[in-house]
Amino acid sequence: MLNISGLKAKVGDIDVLKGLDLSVSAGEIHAIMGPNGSGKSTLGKVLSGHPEYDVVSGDVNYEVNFKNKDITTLSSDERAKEGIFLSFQYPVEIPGVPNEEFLRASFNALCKHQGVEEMSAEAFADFVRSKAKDMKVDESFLTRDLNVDLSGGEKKRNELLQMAVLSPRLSILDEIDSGLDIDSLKIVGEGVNKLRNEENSFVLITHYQRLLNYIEPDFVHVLHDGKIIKTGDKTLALEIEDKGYDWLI
Amino acid sequence: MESLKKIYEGNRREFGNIARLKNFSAEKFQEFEALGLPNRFKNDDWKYTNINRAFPEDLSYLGLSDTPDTANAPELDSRYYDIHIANGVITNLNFKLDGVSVGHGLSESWDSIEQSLSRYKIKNGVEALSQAIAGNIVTLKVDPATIVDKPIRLFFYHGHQLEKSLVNSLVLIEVGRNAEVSILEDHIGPVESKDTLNHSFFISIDDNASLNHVKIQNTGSQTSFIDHSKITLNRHSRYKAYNLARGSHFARYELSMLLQGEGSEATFNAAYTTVEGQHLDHHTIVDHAVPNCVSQQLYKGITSDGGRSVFNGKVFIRKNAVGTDASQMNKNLLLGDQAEVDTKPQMEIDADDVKCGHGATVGGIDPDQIFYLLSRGVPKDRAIMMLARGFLRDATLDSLDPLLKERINEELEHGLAAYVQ
Repeated sequence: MLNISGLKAKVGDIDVLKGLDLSVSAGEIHAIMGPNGSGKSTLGKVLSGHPEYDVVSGDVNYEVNFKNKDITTLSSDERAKEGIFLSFQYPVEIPGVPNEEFLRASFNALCKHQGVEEMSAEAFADFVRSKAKDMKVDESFLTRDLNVDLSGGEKKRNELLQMAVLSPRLSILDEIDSGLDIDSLKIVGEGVNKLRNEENSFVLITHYQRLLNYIEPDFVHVLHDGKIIKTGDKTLALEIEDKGYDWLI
Repeated sequence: MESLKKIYEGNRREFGNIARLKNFSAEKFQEFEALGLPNRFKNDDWKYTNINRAFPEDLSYLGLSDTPDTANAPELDSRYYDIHIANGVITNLNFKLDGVSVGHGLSESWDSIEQSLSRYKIKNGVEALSQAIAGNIVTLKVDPATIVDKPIRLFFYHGHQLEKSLVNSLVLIEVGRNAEVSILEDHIGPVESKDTLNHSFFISIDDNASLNHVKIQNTGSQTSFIDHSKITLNRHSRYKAYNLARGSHFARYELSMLLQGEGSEATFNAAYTTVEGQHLDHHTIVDHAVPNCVSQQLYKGITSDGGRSVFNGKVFIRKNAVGTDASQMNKNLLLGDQAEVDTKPQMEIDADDVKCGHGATVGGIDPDQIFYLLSRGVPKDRAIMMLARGFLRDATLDSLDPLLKERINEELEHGLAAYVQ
């Protein structure tokens, strides 16, 4: 589904990704771990097309309708319409924009792109409430302004709800576990497991092995200085938890 | 000035034999001649705004009887107690209601009108002019203890054969003791019109009465729009106002609020948009003359490339106005490098033991907010519109009649479409 080779990217004048390779197939869950400043969050931003991150060289091929497409030239909204979703480490607060209204605009933008009929406000209200129930997200989130006055954990759960509504093919979860207490972590883990299927893939960016107790990865990668320096299975995460990163660097 | 003199003379001829009115008009015109139009080089209140833009030399006189074609008149709207005012003259209304009286300058007792007007001091030449040529003063009175069950709408529209005309209207509103009423002002007009619309509102709210007041300006972008509103609040009265201004070639809103009764509360919020070639100026004066009153102002504006917005607010807290709670805020969102905003919130505090706050902000759209919406598939133009509307939305007053809130939301959506083309 996603093939990254030799990806170099910078933010401003600083080189962050320095030749990253990663291949993700449908149905897989990949965890990306690494010390602070290794480029984990940059990878998420680059894949979703943040304007402050420039791709210098390398390929990012994403499979759309059985054809590989270089997504680096697509705008962020076009990538989202092709099924790429970034769960933010720090979801942005947007006063004056009610969550439900935002979600419907987002959902209908995707429908339109896929040639599916857009959903009316009434039909969407039922749809989004059923998704909220599935994801154990309080309905009151929907009528509030987007992420405004939500706690860190609630914001992450709101990201999960968005993911459930938009059903992306490739989800990049940037530290979805940070700021979560144990109960919320469990809910988020269960939510991701519910959403996972053979058609979609997840890239989990995380510092801690803890999240991987709830979401079992097929692969664990260690990112350091803008490159993936080791790949293994879930036992690699346990080893890192035990020994830290020093032995790898 | 020559054109204004012609307009005055034409207007005066139509007063016929009503000597009192003729005298009043002559007196006010003399006052206008003495004051002249405000000069932006001499008068700080007009520093950023050139009133000559609204009074070009080729402005014509519009006869009192020259109302728009009644065959094409808009229909009365049963959701409101609807009053239609065309070219400043009442042309139609759909109600007769106990406790609410609607009158007309030429039919009303002129004495009581003159007495009401005399309570308000004339501040500049434009105000004097608007009284000099106001033959058709509209009066709206809500009797004491009357609770009006749905909003009264003042529907202003204009239209005629002339190229550029001065359309003048003057409205006197009195809300009696313990009365409660919501008023909606709708201002519309032909898209291509180059008229100058000069509106004056004199509003008095008696003890323990409540007025909710929404103004929606939707006139053509080539019109000049001038609005003077003078509001007086008496003991424990409440005034909540919301003004949605869509901008035009020239617009000046002057609001003077006098809190003269103890325990009165006033909230005045505005949302406005200014696009290329438009000039929109809000001047407000809030005068706390007595103790224990509350005033709140929140003005939120979006100015895009080539547009210019001005806010100048003054709050006076007089010597004996202890226990005052006053706030004033102007927040601006700039879309583009060529947008200009001049903002000056001011407070003059002569009393101790008061709670006051004022401020202004000017900034662009947060790129992180845009990216967040884009990353969810919302196209950029739609994202900007959602953020712009979100920015203006918190000026909407929660306590308004649901019908008025719905109207405001529709207008916000509609008015902002201009930004996303």
